[in-house]
Amino acid sequence: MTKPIIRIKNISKSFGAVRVLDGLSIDVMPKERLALIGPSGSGKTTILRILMTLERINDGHIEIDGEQLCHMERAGQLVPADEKHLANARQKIGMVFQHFNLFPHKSVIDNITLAPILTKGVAKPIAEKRAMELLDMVGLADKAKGMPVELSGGQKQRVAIARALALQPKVMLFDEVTSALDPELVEEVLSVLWQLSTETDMTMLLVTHEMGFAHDFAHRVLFFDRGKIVEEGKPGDIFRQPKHERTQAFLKKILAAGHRI
Amino acid sequence: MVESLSLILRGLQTTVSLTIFSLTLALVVSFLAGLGRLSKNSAVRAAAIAYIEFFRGTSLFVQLFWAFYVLPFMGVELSPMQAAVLALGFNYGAYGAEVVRASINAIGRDQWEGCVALNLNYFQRLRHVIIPQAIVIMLPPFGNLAVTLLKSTAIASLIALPDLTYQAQLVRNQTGQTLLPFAIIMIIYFAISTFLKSGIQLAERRLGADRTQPARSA
Amino acid sequence: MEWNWAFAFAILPRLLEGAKITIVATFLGFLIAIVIGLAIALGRRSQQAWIARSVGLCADFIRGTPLLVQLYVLFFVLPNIGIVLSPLTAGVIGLGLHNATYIAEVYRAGIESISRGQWEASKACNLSIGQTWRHIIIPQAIPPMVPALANYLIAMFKETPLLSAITVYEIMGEALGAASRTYQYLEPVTMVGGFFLIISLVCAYLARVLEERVRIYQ
Repeated sequence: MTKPIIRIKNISKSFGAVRVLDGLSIDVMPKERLALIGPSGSGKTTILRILMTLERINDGHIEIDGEQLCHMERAGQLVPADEKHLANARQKIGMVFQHFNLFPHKSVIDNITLAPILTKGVAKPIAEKRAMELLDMVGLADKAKGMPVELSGGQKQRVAIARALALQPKVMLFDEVTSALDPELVEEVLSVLWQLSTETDMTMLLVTHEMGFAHDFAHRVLFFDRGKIVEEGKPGDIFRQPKHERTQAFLKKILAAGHRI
Repeated sequence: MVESLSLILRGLQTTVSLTIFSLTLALVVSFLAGLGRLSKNSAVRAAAIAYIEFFRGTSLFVQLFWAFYVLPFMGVELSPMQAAVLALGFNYGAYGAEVVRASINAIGRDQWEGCVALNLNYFQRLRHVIIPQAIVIMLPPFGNLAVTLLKSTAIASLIALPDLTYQAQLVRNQTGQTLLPFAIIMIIYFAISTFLKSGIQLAERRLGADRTQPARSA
Repeated sequence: MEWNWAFAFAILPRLLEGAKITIVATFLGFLIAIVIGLAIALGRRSQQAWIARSVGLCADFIRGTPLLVQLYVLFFVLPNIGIVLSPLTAGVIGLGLHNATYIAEVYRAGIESISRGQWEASKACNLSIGQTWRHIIIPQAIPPMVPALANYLIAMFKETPLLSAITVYEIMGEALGAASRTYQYLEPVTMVGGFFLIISLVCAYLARVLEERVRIYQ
């Protein structure tokens, strides 16, 4: 039997007095694609940020690929991880942000090759060849020498996806990657995600408000509210026959706002 | 020791007066030159620009010596206090004018257009709508200028105005002590600048709060 | 009173000698200011609370007291503990240290202008802290700092006449020397003012060009 690639065990996270995650546990299997949905402030983005080690947890444990993420073993005991352990753990994870966070002073191709060259010691020509393949995949090979400021939001986000893929992570995290885009640019980014889902078998976690896409893309949907999983299941079940009234209310609101399922 | 202290305290009095007088002059000049810089009349605008560039460009130090040593040859005899107030007031007025100009420019066009729609005249627009909003923006840079002005008053000691710095030098010459007089006046200067800074911060909070809090219902 | 051209030409060579010292002092002081300013900015960001706090307090104290008094301390007090500095050395150190506290704020603002997303993306790309500073933060933080640094360079240039108070023969020192020998203040002081005005106007123009360049770059 295969083991989960991500094991989140009973984690909690507070910002000051606000508890955003409350005793949360999730197992994610290799190759699984998970969609996290729910109202804003429900804690779904925080989970991705914790997995990327951008936030520390107050309680609980996380294992990635059989290894502790936020902790490490020292003298038989688990202690909070140091920077070296975190850097090691981060190799397995890639993240794409809502606001792209491209490096504005670097050209498109340098954005993609920077981390492989610096963190993995990949030789520049090899890194560039690989970057061109990735740019080709996201349909932006002709923009390689351009600067981020010259790109549209959708193009920026596609470069950001290529940048994250260049490190060959085992798990990809997508944090509301279309929320900052003009409506007509959403499709080009979603189609890249779709391509990834059909052509690779990477494990992916997707936080999104695009319910229609989540339905087609995900193997499993988790509905969050107030730091807890309220309901989870197959996309068809969650979207068509939500059991919990909070899920029903949320989906109704989303549909009323004009989103399709 | 007691005598030294009383000398320094007399210096404090002079420094405080000099600061207050020059700050007042600088404030008045700031608004005159700052508004002049924004005037529709090109002659007024040119005069304001010439004043600002001249006083920002020639170094306060030179201006002070010019006021004290050169003006008398032209028949204008000034006391050290008068020369220092003039030099400091006009020098910092030039910097303040740029603050006034930038703050008024920072108020959006919509506010001016709103005034036009209400048929307010130019003076009314400034007085009731634009300046009250611009003041909030002006306060922090004015605060910095006030602290810098206070520190600059020390150079008046070089034209023999008996301020804190002058008196400390006097104590040094009379007693041969160096550390003590300078340490005392540094602490006094630091206390006054801290006082000035917190005063401005208080004003910022007051004015800022007025703008952000919902109006009280009657 | 008449402008005496013969006298003006007679003192010109001395003033030009002084101008050289003025320019040397400005650049040396600026060098000290940008290095110590960086140390202050980093000290204030230190994880160790006591380091951050004591560096902050020292910087605030230096910023809250007059440069002239600091020059006196360097020149008159330090010899008491066996440190004897030449006038120019004391002047350059004082000028540099005083302005370092301002330049530290320029660094701080430059660093804080980099959005959190850049730090987070660097982490997601698994860059180390050192790599993040070197490849992501510093290259982006420096261009917006350049105009502010240039302004401090000009401000320091106009502060150098203060060094004459501790017998540095920069341009103002030379001018006052010539004036006190002849009791003719008009020509030397006016010429120094002209010198500062010309250089300030040229620098202000260059700074504007520089600022536009930076804006295009961004």
